Formats: sequence, C-alpha cells, structure tokens
Amino acid sequence: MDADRSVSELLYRAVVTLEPRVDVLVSGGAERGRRLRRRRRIVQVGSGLALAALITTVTVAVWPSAGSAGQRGVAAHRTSAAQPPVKVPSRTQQADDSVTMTPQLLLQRTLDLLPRKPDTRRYTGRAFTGWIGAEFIYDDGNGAAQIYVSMGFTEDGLHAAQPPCQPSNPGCRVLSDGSHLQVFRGPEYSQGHLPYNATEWSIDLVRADGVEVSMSEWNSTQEKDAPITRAEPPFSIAQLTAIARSDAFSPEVSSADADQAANLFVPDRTDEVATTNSTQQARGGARAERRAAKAAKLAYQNRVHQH
Amino acid sequence: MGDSAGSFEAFAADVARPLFGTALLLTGDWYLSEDLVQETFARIYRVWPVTLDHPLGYARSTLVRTFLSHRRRRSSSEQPVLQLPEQPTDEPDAALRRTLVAALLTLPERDRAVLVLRYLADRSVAEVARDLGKSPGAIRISSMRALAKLRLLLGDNEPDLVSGGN
Repeated sequence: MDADRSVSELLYRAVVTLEPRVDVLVSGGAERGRRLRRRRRIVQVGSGLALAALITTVTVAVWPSAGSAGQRGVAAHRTSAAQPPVKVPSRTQQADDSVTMTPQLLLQRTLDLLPRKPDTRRYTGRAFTGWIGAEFIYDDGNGAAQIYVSMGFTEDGLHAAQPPCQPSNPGCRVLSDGSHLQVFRGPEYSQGHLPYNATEWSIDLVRADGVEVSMSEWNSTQEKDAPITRAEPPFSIAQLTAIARSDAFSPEVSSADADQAANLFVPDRTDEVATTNSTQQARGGARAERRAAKAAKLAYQNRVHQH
Repeated sequence: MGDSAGSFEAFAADVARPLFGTALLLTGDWYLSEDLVQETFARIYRVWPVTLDHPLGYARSTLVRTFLSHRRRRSSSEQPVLQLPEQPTDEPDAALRRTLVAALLTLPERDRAVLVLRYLADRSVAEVARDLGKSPGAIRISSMRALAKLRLLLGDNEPDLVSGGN
C-alpha cells in the first residue's frame, strides 16, 4: 500500500463508524444560523443609522462656515475661489481612491501578462483577508490547461504568512532582487492513485517587498478528476517566474482599475468571502468616516482662520 | 447543484456525519466537535441558499476555516486535550481513533487542518490553498511537515493500524 493511501485509510477508518447526534447538529446549527442572520440585519440597520448621523454631523460642521455673506467673502479670499471651502488634498484623495487588489483584477492583470493571447475561459476566484486567488482555463490549441494565480499580503503590504523558503530547501533559490523562489514540478499526487494524475508546475515567489505571488499550471483543465489534455503544462518555469515578478501585482490598486475588472466573474460565495466583503464594507465605512472627519476638521480650521 | 440549494436541513443531514468525523480529528473532543459542526452549519445557514457542486467539500472547507478562526480567538497557551466519550467496547476502530487523534493533537492547528483536508477529504494542494487562503507552496510545506511528524509519532504501529491489527 502506498504512503498517501495508508494515511488516508487511517483517517477514514478512525471516523467512519462514529455515530454523532445528527438531529442535534442540524437543529442546533439552523438555530444558530437564524441568530446570525438576525444579528446581521441589526448590524446593517445600525450601520445605516450611524452613517446618517455622521452625515448630519458633518453637514452641521461645514454649513456655518458658509452661513453669512461676509464670512463667505473672507473664505473666498483666503482659499481658492473656484473650490468649495472644504477640499481634501489631492494626495489624500488619490490614496482614498486606492483599494485592495481584487481577484478579478488579479486575473485581468495575469491575462494581460501572458506571452500569448489564445482562448481563455472559466474565470473564478475568491478573496480572504490578506490573500486572493483566481484561476482560468488557457487554451493555445495544444490542449486546455488550468492556470491558478494567487497573491498573499497584509494591509500594510507585508506578507504575514510563513517565512519564505530557505535556499537549502530543494527547489528554493534567492533571486538577484532578493526574492525567494520556490519551484515545484510533479504529479498532483505523488503515488498516482487517481485515474488522471495531472502534472503540476508551480512557483511561489516571495518578493523583496514582502508580497507573495504564486502561480500553478496543469496539463489538464483541473488538478484532479479530469483527463490529461497535453504532455506538459503550457508555460515554462521561467515564464511563470517572469509573470509573477511583474509590478502589476501590487496589493493596492486604483479603484477605477478594480471596477473595470469587476465584471469578469463573481468571486465564490463562501464564509470567508462574506467576511471579506463585510471587512471591505467596514473599511469603506471607515474610509468614509476618515473623509468626514477630515472635512469637519478643515471646516473647523476655515472657521478659525476666518475669525 | 439543485439539491443542495433546496432544503438546508436535508443538506445538513447529508453531510453531518462525515463533517463530525472531520471535526473530531481536528479537535479531539466530542463536545467541541458538536459545537464546531453546529457553528459551521450556522455559517452556511446565514448565506443559504447556496448552489454547490460538492456540498460535502464546501461544508468541510467551511468547517476547517471555522476551526482555525476559533483557534485564533482562543488563548495561545491553551493545550488540546484528548476528550472522547465512552466508546462501546466492541467498537473495532476505537483504539485506532484514540492513537490517531492523540498524534494529531500534537500537530499545530494549521498543519492538522492541512493533513485532514488533504488525506481525509482528498482535497488537492490547490484546493486546500483555496480553502485556507494560502499559497500552494505553503500548503505543500505544511503537508510534508505534518505527515513526517505523524509518521514519527505512529512509528512502527502504522502498518498494524492500517491493517486493523490483523
């Protein structure tokens, strides 16, 4: 018996005869789920009310500065007449317009970097906090192949996962720019116990800026359970590495670019995606709060300056 | 898949048993496993209905992520303890379960999760990477490390355990 199968069998046999209380699990899970739904609705309503209150506060803070004609005249004299009295500096505005890289834009930028532009299809992807992934089918006429790309990073741009591979590891080396590159070439399952054992070529690049970019490709349209379509995956390790080293894979991107790519696919609906969406909404809310706070501060400064 | 997008209760009843087994290998505790499965069902219920190609795979991935997020919220000083209820004496794999769970509990949570997804759920490296939000390289390293340690812990017992001691 091969090594992989013996571990699989051990794990399976250890739990297959268990008799849990299925009715308790199902009813308890559904009840908790109902509570989660109720809580989510309450949070949504609460967030709406808080935003309304914030807008009211900012409006009250800003409006008095433009309340009298005399004050308006002074303000116009001391600030640009073409601008409203409250204006966020352009650099901050630019920063506020950036968003975290999305799975859709990751896919779009990967497609843009491919050395050839043949048929591509079946776009999917998902996002976690600090990690996004996307995949697609690439068909250059020599057999369709699955391609998978992912990026790991934290909000401050530093990768927080495991340290990069060590040069002493097989397949690991340090590139001239300080990046750590781990290369894998092999069958998906080392013991080949599946009817179709696809060949995978994969690289994990931890760049000097701390961002991790991974790319994998197979000689099949799936990593398992699908027929082999070609002798080898379509791209060489050097090509994969060149793509992964591109500056296009940045954790922060412009919201316009992200919006443009948003229609490529809908990221998988999973708990983590839901969490990420909530996080992004929360970040969006926090960003709106920061903007409002800046606006209120500038309005206050304008008023002080006028007096 | 139309079936799974139908009744939540039917979906949950279908996957409850294998899900519980996965939970037990991760937590080593019968009651924590019940809690983990219910929490997993709650998360799925929250977004229900969902259309799924592989209901059990989806449920297992959600369970493992729930397990890892629970572990993150707990004290890092907490030590796992093997807690299983009384087993029937004629249960043939009780000894195997105790040995295996005890060995698994010595692994870091993430390595344990990778091992269970890879070898119990038969997920590929890329699938586990997608499930856990890690790179395929990180999953490979976790998998190799966990497997090596498990073999070390099981030692000469592994063939006996596999054959059921026959």
